[in-house]
Amino acid sequence: MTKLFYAAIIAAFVNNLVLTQSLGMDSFIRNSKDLATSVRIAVSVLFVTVISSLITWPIGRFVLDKLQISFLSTILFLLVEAALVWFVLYVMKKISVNLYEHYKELLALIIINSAVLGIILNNVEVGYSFIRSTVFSIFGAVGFGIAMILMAGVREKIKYNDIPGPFEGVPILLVTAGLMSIAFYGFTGLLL
Amino acid sequence: MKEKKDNIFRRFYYGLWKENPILFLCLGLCPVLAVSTTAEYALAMGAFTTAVLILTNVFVSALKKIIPNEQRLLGYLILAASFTVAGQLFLKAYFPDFSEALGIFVPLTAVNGVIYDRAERCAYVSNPGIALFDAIGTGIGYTFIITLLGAIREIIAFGTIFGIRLIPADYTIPFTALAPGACIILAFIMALANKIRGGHRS
Repeated sequence: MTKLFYAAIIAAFVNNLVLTQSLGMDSFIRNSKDLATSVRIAVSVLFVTVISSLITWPIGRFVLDKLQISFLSTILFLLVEAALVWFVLYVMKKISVNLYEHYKELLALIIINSAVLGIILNNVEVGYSFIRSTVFSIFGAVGFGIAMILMAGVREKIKYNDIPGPFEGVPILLVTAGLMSIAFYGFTGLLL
Repeated sequence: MKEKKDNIFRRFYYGLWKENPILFLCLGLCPVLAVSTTAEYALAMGAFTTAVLILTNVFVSALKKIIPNEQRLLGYLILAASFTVAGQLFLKAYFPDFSEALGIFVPLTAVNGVIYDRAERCAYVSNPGIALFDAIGTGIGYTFIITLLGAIREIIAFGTIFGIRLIPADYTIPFTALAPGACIILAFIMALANKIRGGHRS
């Protein structure tokens, strides 16, 4: 149990996906314009990662490894992810059109989010147990969400600051991400 | 004929500088920041991405009549993932060192934003020839920036470039080999590019 707790803390903070491993950097920079969108993306990433990890772990362990075709994992997992996203969109459309309109654009972005695929591939490649891989997916995605929401908060403040001309736009966000990343390296101290 | 030539040249120039995927479109940042610890790895990653980009772009463009319009993302996805898997096996067979060092970022090329951007904006609406040159231009632009970033990081962090020592080992700043160093150095490269291009506010 303690081990799992440590694994959770490591996945969410110490090895934060975005800030220390640069996974999912694209949506971290491009889609963190305001808090509402960031929360939506964080929730969708969490949902898609956890469900697709629950599906892909057995596939990886019992099918791909057995048949020794684990090199196909990338393409197969991507398809699982895409199928899941389309299924979710279909259900959403049936339940509420309003919800569907909000998430329609985002869920397509989730498929090509490297954080989701990174977590799923990592689970299978490192050879985690089922529980360990589920914990890693949940807290890895939570770490992504934390970084995303923090960034959206900082961005709303940056709007009112006076920034040197060439740094306006993405460069200042990268500097911010760098400073946040230094702060997250501080969490390494939790392990000592 | 002349118009076509102009178009090809323009595509090349756009990919290389005007619409450089990293500097101005900010796509595919994940491998750029993660594997550019040394110039050698950065160059390998850039070359790998370029290869997958060229193949995907040409095939998307050639198969655009077959790929249905509503589900075109799925089409790009399958093509990009297939070429990534093929490339991954090639790398494993002939360059095992790189395959080991680049690790998970090799399969993650399948979800690189540059590929989807080029497929959507160029390959799906033009013929294979233009798609090919667009992919080559974009790929070279991408590789150039990632290698530049890798070279700067390697010089500052380890004092070497492509393994040749420039600065004595005592005077290096290992911090730049970590993620924060990559972000901040890339920010400076982007700012410089914005300055050179001038008047651009993204």
